[in-house]
Amino acid sequence: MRNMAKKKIMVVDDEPDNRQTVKTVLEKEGYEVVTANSGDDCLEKLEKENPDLILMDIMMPGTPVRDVVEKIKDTKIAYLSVVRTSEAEKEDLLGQGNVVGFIQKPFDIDELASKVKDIVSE
Amino acid sequence: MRADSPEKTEDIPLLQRITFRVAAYSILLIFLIMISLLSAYLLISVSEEELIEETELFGNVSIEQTQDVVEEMSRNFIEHEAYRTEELLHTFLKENPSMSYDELREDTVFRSLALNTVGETGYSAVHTRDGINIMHPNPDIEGYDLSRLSDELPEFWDIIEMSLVKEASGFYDWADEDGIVRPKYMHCVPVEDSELVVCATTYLDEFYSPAESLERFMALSMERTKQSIYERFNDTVIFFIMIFLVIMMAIIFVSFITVKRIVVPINKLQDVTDKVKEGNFDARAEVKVGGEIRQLAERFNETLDALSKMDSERKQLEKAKTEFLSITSHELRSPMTPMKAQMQMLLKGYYGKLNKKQKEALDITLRNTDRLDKIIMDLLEVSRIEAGRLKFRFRKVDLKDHIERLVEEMKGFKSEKNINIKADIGDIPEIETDPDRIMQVLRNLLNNALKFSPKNSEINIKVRTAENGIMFKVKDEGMGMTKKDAANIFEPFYQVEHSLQRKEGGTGLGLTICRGIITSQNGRIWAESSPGKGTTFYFTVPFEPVKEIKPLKLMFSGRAIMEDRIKELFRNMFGPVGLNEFEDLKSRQELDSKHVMGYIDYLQKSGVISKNDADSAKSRAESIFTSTEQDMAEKAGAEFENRISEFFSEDKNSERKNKDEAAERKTASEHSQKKENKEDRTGKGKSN
Repeated sequence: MRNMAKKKIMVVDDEPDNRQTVKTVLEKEGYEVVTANSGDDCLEKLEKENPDLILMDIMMPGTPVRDVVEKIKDTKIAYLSVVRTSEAEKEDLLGQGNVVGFIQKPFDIDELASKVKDIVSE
Repeated sequence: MRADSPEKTEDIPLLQRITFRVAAYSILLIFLIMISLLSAYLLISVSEEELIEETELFGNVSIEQTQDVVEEMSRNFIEHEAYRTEELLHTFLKENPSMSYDELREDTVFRSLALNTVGETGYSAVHTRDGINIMHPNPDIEGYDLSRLSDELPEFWDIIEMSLVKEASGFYDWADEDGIVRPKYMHCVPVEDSELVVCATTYLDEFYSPAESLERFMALSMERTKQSIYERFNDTVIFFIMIFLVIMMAIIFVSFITVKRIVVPINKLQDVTDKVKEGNFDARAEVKVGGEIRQLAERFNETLDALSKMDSERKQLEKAKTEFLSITSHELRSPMTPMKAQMQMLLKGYYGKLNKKQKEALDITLRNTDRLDKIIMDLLEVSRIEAGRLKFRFRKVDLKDHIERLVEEMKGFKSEKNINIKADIGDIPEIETDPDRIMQVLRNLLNNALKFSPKNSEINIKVRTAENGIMFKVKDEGMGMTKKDAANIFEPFYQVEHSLQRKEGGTGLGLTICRGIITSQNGRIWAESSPGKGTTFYFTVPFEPVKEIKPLKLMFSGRAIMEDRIKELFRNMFGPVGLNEFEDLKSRQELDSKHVMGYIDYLQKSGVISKNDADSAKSRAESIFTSTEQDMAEKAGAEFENRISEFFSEDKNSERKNKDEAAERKTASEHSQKKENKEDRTGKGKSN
């Protein structure tokens, strides 16, 4: 039954425009989307919402994202980063916790959709 | 290369020389003064009176005085003889108390005692208290009553008479054997415990003749005077020499102290300026002396304080600039995300169907959003390079694989042009480097080559092992550029004239970034080209990577200012030929201190320029290279701004240009239409 249900994605970004944009794209792709505006906000909402994937902006005010990620045990995480990241750095980031993906901002919306699809359906 | 400045060091010994010269002259002057004083003193001191004083002991030059002395000596002598004889007789008589006069006269011993020679011509004689002589060298006189001579020789009898009672002496004249009357002196002494009297007598003049004595005394006194003069002279001279030495040492000591007090602080100040020259703004002058030099040092230190402050402010400014750039880059890029995504959504019809024009509009906007993004990323990269925060991941790799993969990848780019990329990779060793970065550079060069190559042309890549690294060569058959352009294209936002760069959507920073990457690894990158003959890019990857990445000036480098000045220098040195040489050096990326100095040396050694010219050129070159960056950075900043605005306003210009050209063409065609119509009409008319 679970598989038939919509997959839930939590979008964590301190920029409201980013949240709205990603939400619009993913909803168009058929996902249920919830948002959070910081790492702390994400942790608060995590238990209640229980998403299938968290798309997390890599730089936000509040608790450093690295620490937040450590606290997330059960959910897959994909980074959204405006910072240009080299392959080497990507490798490092992917090694931590539940981080399974990395999406460079500004993204191509098709790219975003396909990457999310890949991760969620694994 | 740091040229020494001989002019500076010559100044210090000058001060010393002056001081020592002054000291030497003072010493000489004092010396002369002392000599004169000495001579004066000696001349004065050896006066007649001194001479006379000295010789007083030895009597005057007058004969009378000499004679007196002679007499006195004689008298003493005679007296002495008399006493001596008296003693002897006394002793004899004591031992022989009962001898009669006759017996005494017969006694040889008594005789020998009594009759002494006194001097050379004198003798001693004995007479009784009654005045009867009993012993005499002349036997006839023995037994004679001496009183009978009272009339003939009154002076003689006076003495004898007195001697009958007590000791007596005196002068008397006596005719000698030759009948010459000469003065005699006699001294009589009664013999103790007896009735006898002994007398000693002699001619006075037997001792010294007056003439002789005069001479002798004069000689003696002169000797003594001379001696005393020499002694006095020596004493005085020694005295003066001591004084002189003392004064001289005092002068030398004082001059040393003076020089030291001036020169040592000046040397210290010079040391500090040397340190500052090398960029150490924390050095301060430590001066222990007082007065003007201390004031100078204090002012100097104050100046250094200000300089140091300026320097740290500058450094802070640099840091802020770099940080500013990276912060703003992130901030600039953030809006990109929703912009791009929303436009894509619009384009895809998320918010409704669009007409053709609307889609076109969105295409243009999206395209430029991407372009903007790329520029910002490149700026960020440049700022990282400048701050030395370029990240490398070094590992030991065989670049051959990477190159081949890249070439494959590039085949998809501009494939419509049908350009053939050939890679000729020689035998290159595995080296420790960051292959991603190297490929970044190669990719950029290939991108450029593909952009600017005509259809169906070839791009040749050659990779070889060279002396200190691996050499890459990328050759295209594009339109090429001038030597000047080839040297300048690595500058940020540099535009080659009539370039396709804008059309091809370059960011203007690609080659700058390449240069930053290669240079920070101690490699070299340059381009060779001629108009119409294609371009060849070269770059080297050293065998050893540079792991400690230092900040590198790319943007506000003031490089252009420095190059202009070096160019001026070359032009002044050789005229138009110099400009050509300058471009040569620049195209080989050899516009640094080491190469320029080496080049000037080479010119001098080949006899092209004189040593003087070479030296002055080198010092000017040095000052150009060591000018403060701040000065250049300001100017460069202004230039940079100009370039950027040119770069971004070229669009407007080219649009305007296109409009103008279109308008021209339109009017031209209108004109020609009118002309044709006219001709038709006239033609028709004519033909009619």
